[in-house]
Amino acid sequence: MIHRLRSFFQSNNFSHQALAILNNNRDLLHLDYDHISDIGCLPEVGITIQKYLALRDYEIAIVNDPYCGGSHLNALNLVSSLEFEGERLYFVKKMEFRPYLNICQSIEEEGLKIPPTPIYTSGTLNTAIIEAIADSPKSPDNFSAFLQREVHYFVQWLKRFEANYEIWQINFSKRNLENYFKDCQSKMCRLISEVPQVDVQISKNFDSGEQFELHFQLLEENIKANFNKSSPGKRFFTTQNAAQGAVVAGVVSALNTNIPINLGTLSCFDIEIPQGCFVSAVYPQPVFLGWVSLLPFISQSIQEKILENNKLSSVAGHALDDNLIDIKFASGKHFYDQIPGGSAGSDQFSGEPGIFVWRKNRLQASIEDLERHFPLVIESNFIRHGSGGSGIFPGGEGIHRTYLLLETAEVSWLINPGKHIAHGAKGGNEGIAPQMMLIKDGKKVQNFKASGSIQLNKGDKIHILSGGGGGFGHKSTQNL
Amino acid sequence: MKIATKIALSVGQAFAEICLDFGNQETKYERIYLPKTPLGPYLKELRAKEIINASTPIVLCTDWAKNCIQQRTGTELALLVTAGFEKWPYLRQPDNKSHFQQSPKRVDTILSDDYIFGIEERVNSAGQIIKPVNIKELEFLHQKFQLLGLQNIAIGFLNSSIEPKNLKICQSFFTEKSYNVITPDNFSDNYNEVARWWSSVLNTYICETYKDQYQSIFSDFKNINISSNQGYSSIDKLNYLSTSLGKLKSLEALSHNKSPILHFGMEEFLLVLPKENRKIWQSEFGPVALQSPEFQKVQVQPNQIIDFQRWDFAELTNSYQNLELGPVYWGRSMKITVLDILYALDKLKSVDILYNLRNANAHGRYKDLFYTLMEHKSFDLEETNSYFYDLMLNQIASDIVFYCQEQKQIKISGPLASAFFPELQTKLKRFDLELCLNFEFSECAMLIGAQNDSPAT
Repeated sequence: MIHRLRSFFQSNNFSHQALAILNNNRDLLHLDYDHISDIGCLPEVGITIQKYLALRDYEIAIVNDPYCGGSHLNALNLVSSLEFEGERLYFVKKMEFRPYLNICQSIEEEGLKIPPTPIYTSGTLNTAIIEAIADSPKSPDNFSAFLQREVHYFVQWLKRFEANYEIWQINFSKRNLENYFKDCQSKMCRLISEVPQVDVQISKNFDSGEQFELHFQLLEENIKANFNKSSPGKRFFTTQNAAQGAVVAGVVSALNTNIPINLGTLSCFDIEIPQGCFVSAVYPQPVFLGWVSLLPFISQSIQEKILENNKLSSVAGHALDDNLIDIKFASGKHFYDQIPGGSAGSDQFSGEPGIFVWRKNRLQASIEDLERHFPLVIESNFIRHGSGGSGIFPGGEGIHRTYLLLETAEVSWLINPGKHIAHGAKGGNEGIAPQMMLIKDGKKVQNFKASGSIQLNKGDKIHILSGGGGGFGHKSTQNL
Repeated sequence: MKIATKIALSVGQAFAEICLDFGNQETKYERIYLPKTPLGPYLKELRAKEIINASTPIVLCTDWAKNCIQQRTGTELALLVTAGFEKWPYLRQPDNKSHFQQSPKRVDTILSDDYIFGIEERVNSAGQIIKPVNIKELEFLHQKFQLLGLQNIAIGFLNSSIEPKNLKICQSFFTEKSYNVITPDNFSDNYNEVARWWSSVLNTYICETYKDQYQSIFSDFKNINISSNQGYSSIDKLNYLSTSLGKLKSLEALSHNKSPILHFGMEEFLLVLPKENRKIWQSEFGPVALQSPEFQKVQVQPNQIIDFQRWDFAELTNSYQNLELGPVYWGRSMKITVLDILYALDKLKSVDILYNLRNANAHGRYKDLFYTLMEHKSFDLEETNSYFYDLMLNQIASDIVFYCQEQKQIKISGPLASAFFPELQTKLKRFDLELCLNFEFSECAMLIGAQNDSPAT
C-alpha cells in the first residue's frame, strides 16, 4: 500500500501546479510545489481552512491572507474537500496572479487581503462575493474571469481524483497513512545520513538594519534550523510558514532528491522561529519584499552550506531573481516582469544564464505576446556577457533586457534589495550585481536605489540587467 | 502473384507496420523488425516478387523526423533571428525540473550558439517595419556561411507573422544563393515567435537526414505520398516535421473524431483525443508551430525503464530504452522495461513478432537482473511482476479518467492492446471500451483507407 499510495499521488498531479493534500487530522499527505513558499504555506492554508470552515464535498473556499497561511497577496489559494470512506481530505491549490510591485509599510497597502471565504457551494459560484472582490481597486487583474476558470479546472480535477481513488483502491485510513509517513520519514533520514553533517551559523546584515541569523544543523538523521538570534524587521518580513518552506527547499535542493514532501519527510525537520523576528512576520507587516528576496536567500544559504561540506558535490552562489519591474501605463494597462539571474557554477557544470532557480515550471513570456498586450517594445534580450563569475565552471550570465515605452507610464522597480552578490567557490570569482539604467528624454540615468518609482514618457527606455552566478574553481588550477 | 494497388507503411524506430491493398477489400498486413529486416531490402523483395511495382502508390508515415531529433542526427544549420534576441531560443527552453536542484539545467537545444546570427531588422506588433533588412549585412553573412560550409538556414524574425516583408527579403536573398532556406511563414499568425522559430529550426535540422532516408529507400519508386498534417502531401512542401504526425492522424481518423483512441503500439502508447486539432505541438524544446491532433503520451510506455531510484523498491522511471537494443528478453539489454514485465507475465503470446524476438535464456537473465535491482532482498518475482502490471493498469486507467472524463466510449487499438484490454475493462467500468476492427494494424489500416474512404484528411 505504501508504494501504491506514492504512485497514486504522483499520478494525480495538477498539471505540475502547486497543490497540497491534507487529511482531517491536519497531516500533510502530499505536496506538489512550484515556489519555495508553497512548501510551508499551502499546508498551513489547509489547516487554517479546517479551523474556520466546515467544507463539504466539492465546496470551495478562497484565501490569500499571509496571516492565514498564504504566501503573498497575489498568490490566491483555492481549498476544497472530499470524503473517502469516513476520511475527509482537504485540497489546497494555488493560483497566481500577476503581482503589483508595491513596496509599503503595511500588508493592507500591498493588495487585497482575502480571509478564508466560501465561494463555491452546491455547484454554484457565489457571484456576489466574487464581484465584490473584483470591484476592489486592489483586486488582481482579470480576477473574476481567471477565478471562474480556475474553479472549473479545480472541480474537474477533484472529480478525477475521486474516480482515480476507486481505480487504485486506495485506503486513506490512519493506519495506512501512518505506515506511509513512517516509510517516507525513514527514507528522508537515510538521505540525510548520506551527506556529511553540518553545524553552521549563517549571518547577514541587511542594509535596512535587519540582522539575519540562522543556526543550521544537518545531523545524523534530522535537520535543525534555529532563527533565534535574528533581529526584528524593518523592511524585509516573511511569515514563519514561508520561512519553514524555504529551509525545506534548501535541504531538498542540496540533497537533489524528488522525495515526496509530506508529514513523514517534514518530521525530520526541527525549525525554530521566535516571535518578533523578521522571519516571523506579524500583522500588519508587509510580506512581498521578503517573499521575493528573503526566501530565496534562506534556501540558497542552506543549499550552499550543505554542499560546501560535502566533498562529493559543491556549488558557488546563484544570483537571486529579485529584479522586478512594474509599469502602470497611462491607458490603465499594468505590466509586470521579473528577470532571472544566472545560476551558480558547480564542480560539474557551468551555471545557466538567466534561470529561475527557486521556481519550477517557469517559462518566460513570449516577446510577441508581451508586445501585443502592452504598449511597449522589448528592444533586446541579451545575455549580459561577463556578469557570471569566472572559474573552471563559470557562473551563469545575467540577462540584459531593454524596454521601449510607447506610452507615458509610472515605472516602479525592485532591484536586488538585499544587495546580494553571488559569491564564487573554490577560487571562482563572484558574479556581477544586478543593475538598472534608464534612457529618459534621450539621457542616460543610472545609480538608482534598490526600489523606487519614476514617471517616464513615450520613447524612454528601461534597461534591467540581472546578476550573474558565482564561478566555481580557480582557472589556473584547472590542469593541475 | 497479384499486384498490390496500394501499399501503406507506418515506420517507427524499430518496427514497421505494412498493409498491402489488392483491391476488392482484399488486404494483407505484415510487421517487420527493422534491425533484422530493413525497409529498403524488404520493399525490393516485394518488387522482385512482383507484389508491387515502381508505380505502386506508397502511403507513408514515419518516425524518421522524430528519431532524427531524439538521436540528434540532424544537419548543422544557421538560425537568423532579430538582432538582440540571439540567445532567446535557448533562454525560452524548458528546464524540466521535478524538484529544486543544485544546478538547474535547461533542455539542450540542437542549435549551436555560434550559428545563431542576429539580423538588424525589426517589425513591431502593429506590423510596421521599424528597421528594414540591410542587404549588405546579408552579403556579409553569405561570405561567412561559405567559409563555415553552412547550407541550411532557418529564419525566425519577431512579428514576421504580422508583416513578413523582412523575412521574405532574407529568404529570397539566401534562396537565390542556393541555400536551403526554411521559414515559418507558411503558418498562421496564432503562434508566438518561439513556436514559429522552433518549427523552422526543426524542419531545417531534419531535412537532410529525411531526404537521405527517403532517397535510399524509395529511389526506385515514382508515386510516393508523404503523410503530413495536411493529409497527404508531397515532400517538397518542406514540412518534414509533420510527417511524424502521420500515425496520429491515422489514429484520429479511426475514431471518426468521435471517441478517444487508446493506442497500444509496438513503440509507444498514445491517447488520441477527439478534439479540434491543437495548434501547438509540445516538443522537448517547448511549443512548436505545427498543427497536430490532440494527443497524450500515456504514463506507461513499452520501452520505459524500471529502476531502483532509492525507494527500497523498483519503480517505473522517466527513462526509456532504445528499441533497437530492446528489453532484457531480447537478450542484449541489461535494463528491465515494461515489455519485460509483459513477457514475464506471458501477455505477449499473441504478438508473434515480439514473441519470436525472445532470447532462449531471457527469463533467467531477467530474474537475475531483478534480483540485483532489488539489492538481493527477499521478494517474490511473480508477486512483483503482478504489482507492476497492476501499477501500469492503474496509471493507464488514470490517464483515461484524466483526459476522457466527459467521454463514454473509448476505442482501443494497437498490437499490444490484447495485453491490457480485458483488465482495463474491469478497471474502467464507467467507460465502454471497444477493440477497433483491425486493431493490431490500426496505424496502417487507416493509412491505406481500409476502414475509411477518406483516411487521414
